Amino acid sequence: MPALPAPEPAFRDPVRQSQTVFRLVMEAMASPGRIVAVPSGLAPPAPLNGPAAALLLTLCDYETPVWLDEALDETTDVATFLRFHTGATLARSPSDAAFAAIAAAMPPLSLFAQGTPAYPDRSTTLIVQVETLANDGWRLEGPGIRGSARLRAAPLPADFVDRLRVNRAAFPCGVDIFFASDRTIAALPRSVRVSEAA
Amino acid sequence: MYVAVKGGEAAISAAHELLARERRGDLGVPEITPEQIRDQLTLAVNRTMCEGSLYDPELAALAVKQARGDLIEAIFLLRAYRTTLPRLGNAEPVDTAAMRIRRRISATYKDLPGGQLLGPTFDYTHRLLDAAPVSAREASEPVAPASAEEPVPHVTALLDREGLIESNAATIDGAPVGDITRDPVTFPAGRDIRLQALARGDEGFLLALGYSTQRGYGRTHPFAGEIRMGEVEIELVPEELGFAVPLGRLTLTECEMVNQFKGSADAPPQFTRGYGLVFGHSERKAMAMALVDRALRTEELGQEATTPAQDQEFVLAHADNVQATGFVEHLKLPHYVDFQAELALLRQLRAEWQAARADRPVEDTCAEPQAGREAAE
Repeated sequence: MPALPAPEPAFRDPVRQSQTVFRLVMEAMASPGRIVAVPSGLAPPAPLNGPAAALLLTLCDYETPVWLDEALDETTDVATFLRFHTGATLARSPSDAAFAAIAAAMPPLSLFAQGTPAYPDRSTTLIVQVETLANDGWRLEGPGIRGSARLRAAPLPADFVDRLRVNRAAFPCGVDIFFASDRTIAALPRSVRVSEAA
Repeated sequence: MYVAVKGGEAAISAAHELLARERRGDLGVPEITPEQIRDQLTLAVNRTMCEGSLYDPELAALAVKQARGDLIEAIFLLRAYRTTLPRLGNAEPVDTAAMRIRRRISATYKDLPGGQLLGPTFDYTHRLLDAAPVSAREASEPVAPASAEEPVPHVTALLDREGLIESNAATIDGAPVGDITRDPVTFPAGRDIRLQALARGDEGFLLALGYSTQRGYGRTHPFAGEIRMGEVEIELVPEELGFAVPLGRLTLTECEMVNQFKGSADAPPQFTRGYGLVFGHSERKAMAMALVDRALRTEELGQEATTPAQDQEFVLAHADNVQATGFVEHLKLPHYVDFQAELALLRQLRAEWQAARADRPVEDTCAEPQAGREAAE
């Protein structure tokens, strides 16, 4: 029987490292648009980047179905890594997912679980890998932001701000989004109002 | 609204200190160990595991010790610990027909396959306090632990073979099972959800409800078809292996009540079932659970629910003693602002009452103030 390739290692100190990352995740979600450095020290299987892997390792477990986009699902490496280290199952469709990891083409937000008015928490949290995260570009307003903030994440579809507007309109339902660049994360919770830079 | 509990740190730490001393008791008496509790107060440990919804005799014994024998407090401790545990998978359903039986009785047949096996029971004791119940006998040879060697068929399976009792199969095969620890209970709740809630429900509450059905508040004419206690193997199928791996053994008590009939134009009359299954040796709880399970099936069996034990919302919403104790005991928390509001309202009502009385002719003395608003929380 040929030896199975071992999945890439995850956190060296899972308890402390996942607690640290969880703190960063809360910080990012509490201050929409704030760019937070995530020092993960991870070497996840391509094309998953370090911060996205850190979020998945921190947030996912046996009870959170994860949906991977085509780019991440192209080989079984990412799925094996995730399943081995977190025990998470893979969601058959985006609407079944507690978390979704997206490395390439952004699917319509409406494909994901939106929650219900009684249980808005039953929605998908998106982890979207981007190349650039910078505090310029879109104008963000809403809870957690004093006045307004700026965020630019790229590459994303040209009409992404319109999609976020539709997502905001469904409040308290809708999805929450993390962006993950090579070293940093930023969050757009469903409560944020995003407009193109004036 | 509650004022956040803060301040008084010195008083709180002194209270903790006193609690620790009271827990320890007289230093001249040896300290009790969790191992002693696990092995000698097994039924307290069983109840803690059952209502704490976690099968771990060591931790349950520790909880009983830490809680000074207050089992609801011990259950609370075990539940709190349970929430920190990661889940690794769902075990296969246990097969109670394959139970290694230590006790098995039926009140419906005297002679039956597998026989009646009394096992360790209080049933035939005279309930006389005995100052030396064990120590005098310690030296003597232990009784050979009785257990049935071959699988013992369920009594209800015997009835089922003749079609005399409703069949279970249709309700359990393949249907996804709900989880009350993950999804809030919504009404009407399915039997899977109801049984889960009853399994971790308060023994005293279920006992009283079961008793109420016997006394006429929703009669079901129950017979203890069978009560069995013993060990079952628990197995998990890891996805990467694809076959069942044994994880260990659980002690369970199962009760199957056989109740009066259900029939229709399409189906001849049959006995109906009430089911109880609990961790450890907890016969009273298993029986009460089976009575209440059957009572909660009233509507699905085509009758009108009219009594407390038949009312799903009443039973399921109040069966959990951790929830119940939380809400009752929260009344100890500061309600200073709430109370000030009530006080102001009462003063206002009294002032209005006095004013109305002063305006009224002398002979009219039985007037009452307008009813105050409901105290809301």
